[in-house]
Amino acid sequence: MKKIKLIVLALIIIFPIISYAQCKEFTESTAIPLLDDFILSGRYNSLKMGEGEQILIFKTLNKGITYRFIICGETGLPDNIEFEILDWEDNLIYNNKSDSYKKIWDYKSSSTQRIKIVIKVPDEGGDATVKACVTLVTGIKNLEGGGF
Amino acid sequence: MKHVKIILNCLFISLILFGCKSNNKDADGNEIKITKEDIENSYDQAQAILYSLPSPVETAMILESAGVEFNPSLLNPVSNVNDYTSNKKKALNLGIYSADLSYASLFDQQQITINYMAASKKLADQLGILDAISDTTLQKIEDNISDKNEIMNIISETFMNSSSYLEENNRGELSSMIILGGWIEGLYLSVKLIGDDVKSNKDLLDIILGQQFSLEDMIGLLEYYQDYKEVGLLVAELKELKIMFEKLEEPVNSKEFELFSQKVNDIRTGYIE
Repeated sequence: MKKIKLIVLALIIIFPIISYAQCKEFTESTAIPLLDDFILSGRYNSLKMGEGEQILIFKTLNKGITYRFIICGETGLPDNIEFEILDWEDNLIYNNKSDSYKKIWDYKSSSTQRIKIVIKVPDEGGDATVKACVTLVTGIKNLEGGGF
Repeated sequence: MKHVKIILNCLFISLILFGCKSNNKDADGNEIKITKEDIENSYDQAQAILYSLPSPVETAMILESAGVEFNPSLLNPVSNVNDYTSNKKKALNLGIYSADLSYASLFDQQQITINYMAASKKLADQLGILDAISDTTLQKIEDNISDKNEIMNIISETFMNSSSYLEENNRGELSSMIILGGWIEGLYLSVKLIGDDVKSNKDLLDIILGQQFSLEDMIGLLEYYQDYKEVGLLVAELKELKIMFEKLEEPVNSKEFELFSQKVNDIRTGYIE
């Protein structure tokens, strides 16, 4: 039992690394064009996910920067992928479930803060073994959001 | 030992996550009832925990927002590029040059931008990061040198391509070192730009204090790879920095800040020498 738990924990850590490479093309063709005039903020987060699965991402938002969060799921997954953003005390900042499952959300943080992003693929009774890419891309803009 | 570390990591994350409140409001301030169980279920069911670290471009942007000046003497000289022989040094300094490049570019330092992109290309080539920074990239930089937005996009793209190429080729430890190099350079520039008078620029001080959160994420990211001896050493050093960071509570004590600043300087010097 102990060994199984260790294997599960190790998989949680290794899994993102493998999936990241597989989802690069999808991210570049689908999510990055949605940045518009935002600048890509470093690496995106991508994973192969299936129905009923969810991931947790830790991120720090800097005061004065406007962020664009883009969530995209590959064909084969339900359209209504949910993402919620919580502050470090688990107060809800945003949930796209109450916003027609929008894929794009812009946010200017009034303080520097650490946040948690939860991405959930709903379980719609489909084939649970089918996995497809889900990607989170973050874009940034400077102070006034008007480019440089 | 490896298993113990993994369990401790997960326990640490669990402790942070499960010790939290559960009253939530939406963006308009309306109360949304999400129970503690809902949130715990969210974390329990997470198939993966990821870290999203700021890119050098973001770091440069927050420096600009604090109204700092450009100081070329703070950059890691491009003449150092030939001194880096180990992959660790190449990766760290690719991150450092990316941060310097972003800083220079945001302050309209066109020739410096070109020089630092060339130095970055050299390190990327030596790390075998094919096409992350191609001759075409250098040409694009020169062609768009007066278009700051486009230059920032190119830098972001090359930074992303470099780290993702390494991830794809099972060299994630080097990818995380590039990110670390970029992050530590941003912190180094910040503490140098604020100088001895920590009260001289409140915005910049806030930026520095805010990096404590990114440091947590940085350590979390590197710990994926801490079985690599080189990464383990880097993590140990960052944990020392974390302890000093925790002492920097507002109002910031000048003496504590000086010690902290010296630690950042020492870490960065260790990377670039």
